[in-house]
Amino acid sequence: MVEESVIDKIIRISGRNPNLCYQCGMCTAVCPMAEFMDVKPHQIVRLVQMGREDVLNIDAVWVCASCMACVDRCPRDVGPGIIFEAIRLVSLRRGIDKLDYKAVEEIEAAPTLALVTASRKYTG
Amino acid sequence: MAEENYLYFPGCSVKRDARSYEKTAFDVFEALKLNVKELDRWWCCGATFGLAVDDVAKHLGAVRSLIQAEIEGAGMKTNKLLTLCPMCFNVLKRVNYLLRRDPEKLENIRRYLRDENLDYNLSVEVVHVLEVLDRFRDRIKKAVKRRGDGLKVAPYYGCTPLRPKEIGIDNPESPSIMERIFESLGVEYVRYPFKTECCGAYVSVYNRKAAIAKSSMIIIGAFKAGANLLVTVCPLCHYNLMLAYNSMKNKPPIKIIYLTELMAYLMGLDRNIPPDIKSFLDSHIGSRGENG
Repeated sequence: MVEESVIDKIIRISGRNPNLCYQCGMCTAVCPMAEFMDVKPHQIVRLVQMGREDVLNIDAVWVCASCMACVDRCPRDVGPGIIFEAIRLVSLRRGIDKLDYKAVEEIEAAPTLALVTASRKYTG
Repeated sequence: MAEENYLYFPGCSVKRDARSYEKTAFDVFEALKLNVKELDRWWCCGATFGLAVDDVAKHLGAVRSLIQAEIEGAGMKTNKLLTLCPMCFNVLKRVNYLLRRDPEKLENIRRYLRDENLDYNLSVEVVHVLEVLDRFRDRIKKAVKRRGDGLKVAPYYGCTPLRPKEIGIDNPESPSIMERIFESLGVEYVRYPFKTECCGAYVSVYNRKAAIAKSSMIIIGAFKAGANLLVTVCPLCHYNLMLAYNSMKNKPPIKIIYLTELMAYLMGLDRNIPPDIKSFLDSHIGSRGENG
Protein backbone atom coordinates (compact mmCIF):
# COMPACT_ATOMS: atom_id res chain seq x y z
CA MET A 1 0.00 0.00 0.00
CA VAL A 2 1.29 3.43 -0.91
CA GLU A 3 1.47 5.75 2.03
CA GLU A 4 -0.90 8.70 1.84
CA SER A 5 0.91 11.94 1.10
CA VAL A 6 0.73 14.88 3.49
CA ILE A 7 -1.28 16.89 0.96
CA ASP A 8 -3.74 14.04 0.32
CA LYS A 9 -4.18 13.69 4.05
CA ILE A 10 -4.85 17.42 4.46
CA ILE A 11 -7.46 17.25 1.70
CA ARG A 12 -9.07 14.10 3.08
CA ILE A 13 -9.41 15.14 6.71
CA SER A 14 -10.46 18.70 5.86
CA GLY A 15 -13.14 17.44 3.51
CA ARG A 16 -12.37 20.51 1.38
CA ASN A 17 -10.99 20.99 -2.11
CA PRO A 18 -8.12 23.50 -2.19
CA ASN A 19 -7.99 23.26 -6.00
CA LEU A 20 -11.20 25.26 -6.24
CA CYS A 21 -9.33 28.31 -4.93
CA TYR A 22 -8.77 31.02 -7.53
CA GLN A 23 -6.56 33.16 -5.28
CA CYS A 24 -8.95 36.08 -4.85
CA GLY A 25 -7.47 36.89 -1.45
CA MET A 26 -10.80 37.25 0.36
CA CYS A 27 -9.57 35.03 3.21
CA THR A 28 -6.50 37.16 3.79
CA ALA A 29 -8.53 40.37 3.55
CA VAL A 30 -11.00 39.29 6.25
CA CYS A 31 -8.56 37.36 8.48
CA PRO A 32 -8.24 39.14 11.85
CA MET A 33 -4.88 37.47 12.46
CA ALA A 34 -3.32 37.95 8.99
CA GLU A 35 -1.01 40.70 10.19
CA PHE A 36 0.59 38.22 12.60
CA MET A 37 1.03 35.47 10.03
CA ASP A 38 4.32 34.55 8.37
CA VAL A 39 2.44 33.20 5.35
CA LYS A 40 -0.98 34.67 4.52
CA PRO A 41 -4.12 32.51 4.31
CA HIS A 42 -4.54 32.60 0.50
CA GLN A 43 -0.83 31.81 0.11
CA ILE A 44 -1.16 28.75 2.33
CA VAL A 45 -4.01 27.47 0.17
CA ARG A 46 -1.84 28.07 -2.91
CA LEU A 47 1.02 26.08 -1.37
CA VAL A 48 -1.38 23.20 -0.70
CA GLN A 49 -2.49 23.37 -4.35
CA MET A 50 1.17 23.15 -5.35
CA GLY A 51 1.63 20.06 -3.21
CA ARG A 52 4.13 21.68 -0.88
CA GLU A 53 4.47 19.42 2.15
CA ASP A 54 6.44 22.10 3.98
CA VAL A 55 3.11 23.82 4.74
CA LEU A 56 3.50 21.86 7.98
CA ASN A 57 6.25 24.30 9.02
CA ILE A 58 4.15 27.43 8.65
CA ASP A 59 3.51 29.25 11.94
CA ALA A 60 0.42 31.03 10.59
CA VAL A 61 -1.84 27.99 10.95
CA TRP A 62 -1.26 28.17 14.72
CA VAL A 63 -2.11 31.86 14.79
CA CYS A 64 -5.45 31.11 13.11
CA ALA A 65 -8.19 31.61 15.70
CA SER A 66 -10.77 29.45 13.87
CA CYS A 67 -13.03 32.50 13.85
CA MET A 68 -14.67 31.32 10.63
CA ALA A 69 -14.44 34.75 9.00
CA CYS A 70 -12.72 33.26 5.93
CA VAL A 71 -14.81 30.11 5.89
CA ASP A 72 -18.05 32.10 5.82
CA ARG A 73 -16.90 34.44 3.08
CA CYS A 74 -14.91 32.21 0.73
CA PRO A 75 -16.59 32.58 -2.68
CA ARG A 76 -15.39 29.14 -3.74
CA ASP A 77 -16.32 27.40 -0.50
CA VAL A 78 -12.76 26.23 -0.05
CA GLY A 79 -12.89 26.99 3.66
CA PRO A 80 -9.28 28.03 4.27
CA GLY A 81 -9.76 27.88 8.06
CA ILE A 82 -10.86 24.24 7.77
CA ILE A 83 -7.77 23.40 5.71
CA PHE A 84 -5.58 25.07 8.38
CA GLU A 85 -7.11 22.80 11.02
CA ALA A 86 -6.21 19.83 8.84
CA ILE A 87 -2.62 21.10 8.57
CA ARG A 88 -2.47 21.50 12.37
CA LEU A 89 -3.85 18.01 12.87
CA VAL A 90 -1.27 16.38 10.61
CA SER A 91 1.43 17.73 12.96
CA LEU A 92 -0.48 17.04 16.17
CA ARG A 93 -1.22 13.47 15.13
CA ARG A 94 2.51 12.97 14.72
CA GLY A 95 2.84 13.85 18.37
CA ILE A 96 4.20 17.33 17.82
CA ASP A 97 2.52 19.57 20.38
CA LYS A 98 2.55 23.33 20.00
CA LEU A 99 1.78 24.30 23.57
CA ASP A 100 4.28 24.35 26.40
CA TYR A 101 2.12 24.78 29.47
CA LYS A 102 5.13 25.83 31.55
CA ALA A 103 5.74 28.72 29.20
CA VAL A 104 2.19 30.09 29.34
CA GLU A 105 2.30 33.54 30.90
CA GLU A 106 0.11 33.95 34.01
CA ILE A 107 -1.48 30.57 33.46
CA GLU A 108 -3.34 30.84 36.77
CA ALA A 109 -5.21 33.89 35.52
CA ALA A 110 -6.38 32.21 32.34
CA PRO A 111 -10.01 31.08 32.39
CA THR A 112 -10.69 27.36 31.96
CA LEU A 113 -12.16 28.19 28.59
CA ALA A 114 -8.83 29.57 27.37
CA LEU A 115 -6.95 26.50 28.56
CA VAL A 116 -9.45 23.99 27.21
CA THR A 117 -9.60 25.66 23.79
CA ALA A 118 -5.82 26.01 23.64
CA SER A 119 -5.35 22.39 24.68
CA ARG A 120 -7.72 21.27 21.97
CA LYS A 121 -6.00 23.35 19.31
CA TYR A 122 -2.35 23.06 20.28
CA THR A 123 -2.01 19.54 21.65
CA GLY A 124 -2.75 16.18 20.05
CA MET B 1 -43.91 22.82 24.36
CA ALA B 2 -43.87 25.46 27.03
CA GLU B 3 -42.46 28.64 25.56
CA GLU B 4 -40.88 29.84 28.79
CA ASN B 5 -39.16 26.60 29.77
CA TYR B 6 -35.49 26.16 29.05
CA LEU B 7 -32.90 23.61 29.99
CA TYR B 8 -29.54 25.15 30.72
CA PHE B 9 -26.03 24.02 29.80
CA PRO B 10 -23.48 25.98 31.88
CA GLY B 11 -20.03 24.88 30.70
CA CYS B 12 -16.77 25.42 32.52
CA SER B 13 -16.21 29.15 32.54
CA VAL B 14 -19.48 30.44 33.94
CA LYS B 15 -18.90 28.06 36.86
CA ARG B 16 -15.47 29.45 37.65
CA ASP B 17 -14.33 32.54 35.82
CA ALA B 18 -17.59 34.26 34.95
CA ARG B 19 -19.65 33.72 38.09
CA SER B 20 -21.34 37.11 37.93
CA TYR B 21 -22.37 36.43 34.32
CA GLU B 22 -24.29 33.33 35.37
CA LYS B 23 -25.68 34.80 38.58
CA THR B 24 -26.94 38.00 36.99
CA ALA B 25 -28.36 35.99 34.08
CA PHE B 26 -30.44 33.94 36.49
CA ASP B 27 -31.59 37.08 38.31
CA VAL B 28 -32.74 38.42 34.94
CA PHE B 29 -34.45 35.13 33.98
CA GLU B 30 -36.36 35.16 37.25
CA ALA B 31 -37.50 38.75 36.73
CA LEU B 32 -38.64 37.86 33.20
CA LYS B 33 -40.53 34.84 34.61
CA LEU B 34 -38.52 32.34 32.59
CA ASN B 35 -38.18 28.83 33.89
CA VAL B 36 -34.53 27.93 33.33
CA LYS B 37 -33.25 24.68 34.78
CA GLU B 38 -29.65 23.50 34.77
CA LEU B 39 -29.09 20.01 33.38
CA ASP B 40 -28.72 17.43 36.17
CA ARG B 41 -25.64 16.16 34.36
CA TRP B 42 -23.54 17.83 31.69
CA TRP B 43 -20.24 17.19 29.96
CA CYS B 44 -17.54 19.50 28.68
CA CYS B 45 -18.61 20.63 25.21
CA GLY B 46 -14.98 20.68 24.09
CA ALA B 47 -15.02 24.48 23.72
CA THR B 48 -13.97 24.36 20.07
CA PHE B 49 -15.74 22.40 17.37
CA GLY B 50 -13.58 19.71 15.79
CA LEU B 51 -13.26 20.84 12.17
CA ALA B 52 -11.77 17.73 10.57
CA VAL B 53 -14.23 15.31 9.01
CA ASP B 54 -12.68 12.34 10.78
CA ASP B 55 -12.64 13.94 14.22
CA VAL B 56 -15.89 12.36 15.38
CA ALA B 57 -14.66 11.59 18.91
CA LYS B 58 -14.29 15.32 19.60
CA HIS B 59 -18.07 15.68 19.32
CA LEU B 60 -18.93 13.08 21.94
CA GLY B 61 -19.06 15.35 25.00
CA ALA B 62 -21.50 17.62 23.21
CA VAL B 63 -23.60 14.67 22.08
CA ARG B 64 -23.86 13.38 25.65
CA SER B 65 -25.20 16.72 26.81
CA LEU B 66 -27.66 16.85 23.91
CA ILE B 67 -28.92 13.41 24.90
CA GLN B 68 -29.24 14.49 28.52
CA ALA B 69 -31.24 17.52 27.34
CA GLU B 70 -33.48 15.29 25.26
CA ILE B 71 -34.21 13.10 28.27
CA GLU B 72 -34.77 15.93 30.75
CA GLY B 73 -36.63 18.05 28.21
CA ALA B 74 -39.38 15.44 27.84
CA GLY B 75 -40.33 15.87 31.48
CA MET B 76 -40.13 19.63 31.32
CA LYS B 77 -42.01 20.10 28.07
CA THR B 78 -39.18 21.79 26.29
CA ASN B 79 -36.64 20.93 23.62
CA LYS B 80 -34.65 24.11 24.11
CA LEU B 81 -31.14 23.93 25.49
CA LEU B 82 -29.93 27.37 26.56
CA THR B 83 -26.30 28.43 26.92
CA LEU B 84 -24.74 31.64 28.17
CA CYS B 85 -21.26 30.90 26.89
CA PRO B 86 -21.26 31.30 23.10
CA MET B 87 -18.37 28.87 22.74
CA CYS B 88 -20.58 26.17 24.26
CA PHE B 89 -23.45 27.39 22.10
CA ASN B 90 -21.28 27.18 19.00
CA VAL B 91 -20.02 23.65 19.66
CA LEU B 92 -23.37 22.22 20.77
CA LYS B 93 -25.26 23.75 17.85
CA ARG B 94 -22.67 22.73 15.27
CA VAL B 95 -22.61 19.16 16.53
CA ASN B 96 -26.40 19.10 16.45
CA TYR B 97 -26.40 20.57 12.93
CA LEU B 98 -23.79 18.10 11.74
CA LEU B 99 -25.69 15.08 13.06
CA ARG B 100 -28.92 16.28 11.46
CA ARG B 101 -27.30 16.63 8.05
CA ASP B 102 -24.94 13.70 8.03
CA PRO B 103 -26.61 10.32 8.67
CA GLU B 104 -23.27 8.54 8.40
CA LYS B 105 -21.79 10.62 11.24
CA LEU B 106 -24.92 10.08 13.30
CA GLU B 107 -24.63 6.33 12.84
CA ASN B 108 -20.95 6.50 13.76
CA ILE B 109 -21.79 8.39 16.96
CA ARG B 110 -24.58 5.95 17.73
CA ARG B 111 -22.10 3.11 17.54
CA TYR B 112 -20.01 4.81 20.21
CA LEU B 113 -23.02 5.21 22.46
CA ARG B 114 -24.65 1.83 21.99
CA ASP B 115 -22.71 0.19 24.80
CA GLU B 116 -24.15 2.74 27.19
CA ASN B 117 -27.70 2.19 25.93
CA LEU B 118 -27.84 5.79 24.80
CA ASP B 119 -29.38 7.17 21.65
CA TYR B 120 -30.01 10.63 20.27
CA ASN B 121 -33.15 11.50 18.33
CA LEU B 122 -32.06 14.95 17.12
CA SER B 123 -34.91 16.75 18.88
CA VAL B 124 -32.94 19.35 20.86
CA GLU B 125 -32.75 23.01 19.78
CA VAL B 126 -29.63 24.77 21.03
CA VAL B 127 -30.28 28.44 21.77
CA HIS B 128 -28.09 31.27 22.96
CA VAL B 129 -29.17 33.65 25.72
CA LEU B 130 -29.27 36.55 23.23
CA GLU B 131 -32.01 34.78 21.27
CA VAL B 132 -34.02 34.16 24.42
CA LEU B 133 -33.72 37.75 25.61
CA ASP B 134 -34.65 38.99 22.14
CA ARG B 135 -37.81 36.93 22.29
CA PHE B 136 -38.91 38.45 25.58
CA ARG B 137 -38.14 42.10 24.81
CA ASP B 138 -41.60 43.22 25.89
CA ARG B 139 -41.00 41.77 29.33
CA ILE B 140 -37.58 43.39 29.49
CA LYS B 141 -39.13 46.78 28.76
CA LYS B 142 -41.55 46.35 31.65
CA ALA B 143 -38.86 45.11 34.03
CA VAL B 144 -36.57 48.11 33.62
CA LYS B 145 -36.26 50.10 36.85
CA ARG B 146 -33.36 52.40 36.16
CA ARG B 147 -32.86 54.88 33.38
CA GLY B 148 -29.78 54.23 31.30
CA ASP B 149 -29.10 57.91 30.68
CA GLY B 150 -25.40 58.56 30.53
CA LEU B 151 -24.54 55.10 29.30
CA LYS B 152 -23.25 54.61 25.81
CA VAL B 153 -22.94 50.97 25.04
CA ALA B 154 -20.83 49.23 22.41
CA PRO B 155 -22.25 45.80 21.58
CA TYR B 156 -19.55 43.19 21.08
CA TYR B 157 -20.64 39.89 19.53
CA GLY B 158 -17.31 38.33 18.67
CA CYS B 159 -17.35 35.21 16.47
CA THR B 160 -19.07 32.26 18.02
CA PRO B 161 -22.68 33.53 18.25
CA LEU B 162 -22.56 34.36 14.53
CA ARG B 163 -20.19 32.11 12.63
CA PRO B 164 -20.31 29.86 10.75
CA LYS B 165 -23.42 31.41 9.24
CA GLU B 166 -25.27 28.08 9.16
CA ILE B 167 -25.62 28.14 12.93
CA GLY B 168 -25.45 31.89 13.63
CA ILE B 169 -28.20 33.59 15.62
CA ASP B 170 -28.33 36.68 13.41
CA ASN B 171 -26.98 38.17 10.20
CA PRO B 172 -23.25 37.39 10.60
CA GLU B 173 -22.20 40.50 8.67
CA SER B 174 -24.48 42.93 10.46
CA PRO B 175 -26.11 41.55 13.59
CA SER B 176 -28.61 43.68 15.47
CA ILE B 177 -30.01 41.37 18.13
CA MET B 178 -28.00 42.96 20.96
CA GLU B 179 -28.95 46.43 19.77
CA ARG B 180 -32.64 45.49 19.93
CA ILE B 181 -32.13 44.37 23.53
CA PHE B 182 -30.44 47.70 24.32
CA GLU B 183 -33.43 49.51 22.86
CA SER B 184 -35.74 47.56 25.17
CA LEU B 185 -33.49 48.48 28.07
CA GLY B 186 -33.59 52.12 27.05
CA VAL B 187 -29.84 52.54 26.66
CA GLU B 188 -28.06 54.30 23.88
CA TYR B 189 -25.63 52.26 21.79
CA VAL B 190 -22.86 53.18 19.40
CA ARG B 191 -21.91 51.92 15.97
CA TYR B 192 -18.32 50.90 15.44
CA PRO B 193 -16.58 48.60 12.96
CA PHE B 194 -15.39 45.80 15.23
CA LYS B 195 -18.46 44.24 16.83
CA THR B 196 -18.01 40.94 14.98
CA GLU B 197 -14.21 41.00 14.87
CA CYS B 198 -12.35 38.18 16.64
CA CYS B 199 -10.86 39.02 20.08
CA GLY B 200 -8.00 36.59 19.47
CA ALA B 201 -9.73 33.65 21.18
CA TYR B 202 -7.40 30.87 22.35
CA VAL B 203 -4.47 32.41 20.49
CA SER B 204 -3.90 34.48 23.65
CA VAL B 205 -2.36 31.33 25.13
CA TYR B 206 -0.03 30.80 22.14
CA ASN B 207 0.68 34.31 20.89
CA ARG B 208 -0.36 36.71 23.61
CA LYS B 209 0.78 39.80 21.72
CA ALA B 210 -1.46 39.04 18.75
CA ALA B 211 -4.54 38.53 20.92
CA ILE B 212 -3.81 41.70 22.90
CA ALA B 213 -3.46 43.65 19.66
CA LYS B 214 -6.82 42.39 18.40
CA SER B 215 -8.65 43.05 21.65
CA SER B 216 -7.04 46.49 22.03
CA MET B 217 -8.31 47.44 18.59
CA ILE B 218 -11.85 46.49 19.62
CA ILE B 219 -11.68 48.47 22.89
CA ILE B 220 -10.21 51.56 21.25
CA GLY B 221 -12.70 51.31 18.37
CA ALA B 222 -15.60 51.23 20.82
CA PHE B 223 -14.17 54.11 22.84
CA LYS B 224 -13.56 56.25 19.77
CA ALA B 225 -17.18 55.71 18.75
CA GLY B 226 -18.17 57.30 22.06
CA ALA B 227 -18.88 54.22 24.18
CA ASN B 228 -18.29 54.07 27.93
CA LEU B 229 -19.38 50.44 28.17
CA LEU B 230 -18.22 47.48 26.11
CA VAL B 231 -20.72 44.67 26.44
CA THR B 232 -19.81 41.04 25.81
CA VAL B 233 -21.57 37.68 26.18
CA CYS B 234 -18.44 35.51 26.11
CA PRO B 235 -16.06 34.60 28.95
CA LEU B 236 -13.15 34.13 26.53
CA CYS B 237 -13.74 37.50 24.86
CA HIS B 238 -14.05 39.02 28.34
CA TYR B 239 -10.70 37.56 29.36
CA ASN B 240 -8.91 38.74 26.21
CA LEU B 241 -10.48 42.19 26.38
CA MET B 242 -9.42 42.54 30.03
CA LEU B 243 -5.94 41.30 29.16
CA ALA B 244 -5.72 44.00 26.51
CA TYR B 245 -7.24 46.67 28.72
CA ASN B 246 -4.87 45.93 31.59
CA SER B 247 -1.90 46.05 29.24
CA MET B 248 -2.75 49.59 28.06
CA LYS B 249 -0.64 52.44 29.30
CA ASN B 250 -3.36 55.03 28.77
CA LYS B 251 -6.55 53.24 29.73
CA PRO B 252 -9.62 54.77 28.08
CA PRO B 253 -12.54 55.36 30.50
CA ILE B 254 -14.58 52.41 29.26
CA LYS B 255 -15.79 49.42 31.28
CA ILE B 256 -15.93 45.86 29.93
CA ILE B 257 -18.97 44.01 31.27
CA TYR B 258 -21.30 41.11 30.59
CA LEU B 259 -24.66 41.88 29.05
CA THR B 260 -26.57 40.35 31.94
CA GLU B 261 -24.66 42.50 34.47
CA LEU B 262 -25.91 45.59 32.65
CA MET B 263 -29.42 44.15 32.43
CA ALA B 264 -29.53 43.21 36.10
CA TYR B 265 -28.41 46.70 37.00
CA LEU B 266 -31.03 48.43 34.86
CA MET B 267 -33.67 46.07 36.25
CA GLY B 268 -32.68 46.92 39.82
CA LEU B 269 -31.32 43.43 40.56
CA ASP B 270 -28.12 44.51 42.23
CA ARG B 271 -27.20 41.63 44.51
CA ASN B 272 -24.91 39.76 42.13
CA ILE B 273 -23.34 42.67 40.29
CA PRO B 274 -19.62 42.98 41.08
CA PRO B 275 -18.95 46.11 43.20
CA ASP B 276 -16.60 47.74 40.69
CA ILE B 277 -19.21 47.44 37.96
CA LYS B 278 -21.99 48.67 40.23
CA SER B 279 -20.05 51.78 41.21
CA PHE B 280 -19.04 52.46 37.60
CA LEU B 281 -22.67 52.28 36.49
CA ASP B 282 -23.84 54.32 39.52
CA SER B 283 -21.46 57.09 38.58
CA HIS B 284 -22.76 57.24 35.01
CA ILE B 285 -26.52 57.09 35.22
CA GLY B 286 -29.51 58.86 36.68
CA SER B 287 -32.09 56.86 38.67
CA ARG B 288 -35.74 56.65 37.80
CA GLY B 289 -36.58 55.80 41.41
CA GLU B 290 -38.76 53.11 42.96
CA ASN B 291 -41.84 53.67 40.82
CA GLY B 292 -40.07 53.27 37.52
